[in-house]
Amino acid sequence: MSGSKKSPLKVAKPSSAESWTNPFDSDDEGKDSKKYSSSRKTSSERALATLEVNTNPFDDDIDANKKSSSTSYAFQSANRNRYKNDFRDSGGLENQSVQELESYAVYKAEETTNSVNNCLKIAENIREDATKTLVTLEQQGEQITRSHHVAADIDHDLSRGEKLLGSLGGLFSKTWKPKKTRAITGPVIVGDDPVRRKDNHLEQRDKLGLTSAPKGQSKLRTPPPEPTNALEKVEVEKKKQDDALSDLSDLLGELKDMAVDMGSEIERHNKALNHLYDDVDELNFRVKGANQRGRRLLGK
Amino acid sequence: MSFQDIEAGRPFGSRRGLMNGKQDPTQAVAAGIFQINTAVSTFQRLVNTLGTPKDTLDLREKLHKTRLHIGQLVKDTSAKLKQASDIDHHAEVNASKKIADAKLAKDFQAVLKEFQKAQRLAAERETAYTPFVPQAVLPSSYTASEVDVGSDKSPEQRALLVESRRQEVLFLDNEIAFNEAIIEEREQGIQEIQQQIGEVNEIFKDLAVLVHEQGAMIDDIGSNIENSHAATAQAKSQLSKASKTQRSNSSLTCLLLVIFGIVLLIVIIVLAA
Repeated sequence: MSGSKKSPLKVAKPSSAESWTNPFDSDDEGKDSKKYSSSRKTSSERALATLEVNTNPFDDDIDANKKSSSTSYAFQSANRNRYKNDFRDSGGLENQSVQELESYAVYKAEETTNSVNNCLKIAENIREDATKTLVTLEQQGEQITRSHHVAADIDHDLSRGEKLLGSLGGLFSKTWKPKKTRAITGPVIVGDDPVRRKDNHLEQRDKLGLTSAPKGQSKLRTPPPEPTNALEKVEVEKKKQDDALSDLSDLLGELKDMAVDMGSEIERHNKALNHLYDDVDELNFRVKGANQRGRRLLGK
Repeated sequence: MSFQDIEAGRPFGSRRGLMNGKQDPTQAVAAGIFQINTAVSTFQRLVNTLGTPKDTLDLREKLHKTRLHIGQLVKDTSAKLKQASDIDHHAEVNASKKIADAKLAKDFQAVLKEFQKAQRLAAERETAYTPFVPQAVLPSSYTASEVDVGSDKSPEQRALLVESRRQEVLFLDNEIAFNEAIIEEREQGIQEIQQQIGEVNEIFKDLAVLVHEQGAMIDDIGSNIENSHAATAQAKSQLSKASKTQRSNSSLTCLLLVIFGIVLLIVIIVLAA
């Protein structure tokens, strides 16, 4: 019914358009004939002409819609350029039509979604850097522990050397005993076990983190957006933003945990380094004493 | 309606234009002023429809065309008025005609003032309101339904309908403005989040650099302690060798002492016998 009704209107329009445009091209004689013929038929033709004048921009809109259906990407890019250029040229939002404002809203929503996605990428980069930093900190902790073990071995060798220096010397020489300020204790063994446990925990977290990221991406990709109205497009963009923001929140939570672990790890490093410093200071003192004893024996 | 009025106005003007060749410029100026009056009243009626549901892009275009038309009429009438003034200045015409020309000039100025006022009002309303875009309805059927509604209902009901449509348009405008405000606020928040995440990224990178540098220092500490360990082990071995050497020397001395004692004992026994 509606199709059959529409088709005769479309057929009738161009013929009336031709009849309407001809009098403008004609000379005064045509105008005179128009003036003298003051019948209802001419008034009806004028009404049809006004309808045609009304229909022209909508025909352009229909053509634009057809073009958009054929090349959506080019249309979107053209729209974005028009929005930026039009709003700058026009000078304000108030001068725009409702349809352009809706398209502008969709454009802004998409821009915001791109910003959120950029934030997500940066957060993922931060997480990778934080993971590397944590691994480096663990390695440094292990190295400090190994250095402390080597210092304990130095203490063992130095004790035996001091005994030998005491037994050396002739029958009439003075006895010599090494001076010890404090006993050298190795690294705190109690601290190692939680470090190892946390190492395993961090490895598990890294694995979980690596697995969770593609899940989020797949979740974002699975719901296909349905472009129907401008407001619905804006709603779809808002849902995308909410999903991206929730993923961002999860990532930031992981970063917080990583940062807390880094803090505790560095605190432990500080204590171990202080302990190592004290032990090495004591070893330095004893080695100096042993050197003096050796020089005396060689001198005599 | 307005378009038919414009069309009705044009042939009348052109008819007078044909007669203009025969008549004097005073009547031509009068005819021009009359046309301008008609066009300005049409323009004012179009301006009054701004901000109503009838306010469409087509209406804006009509306004523009009518404004141009009035401008053209004003130019023509001004030229004719100058001709009349020149004729009055050069030729000696009776005083009643001069008074009539002066009156026409005053009327012309009054019409121009009205036109400027209407133009200013149109500019204000054009900026205040946005044109109403019909949604998914064919304009021909829309206009036909509009005509039907106009013909069916009484003027009071028509006014109520126009008011309700105007309120509907205002509601839509408010809704869209509200949505845009929400989107702007949301965008600002997200821009702030992006900036802060950039700062966090820099903090973590700086931390990584510091940890790497400390790693180099800890490597130095480890290598130094390894060197100390090697030196201490070597010292221990050297001291062990020295101890062994000293023990062998002391045993030789004891042996010599024993031999000397035995020799001394033999000598004493020989002397006693």
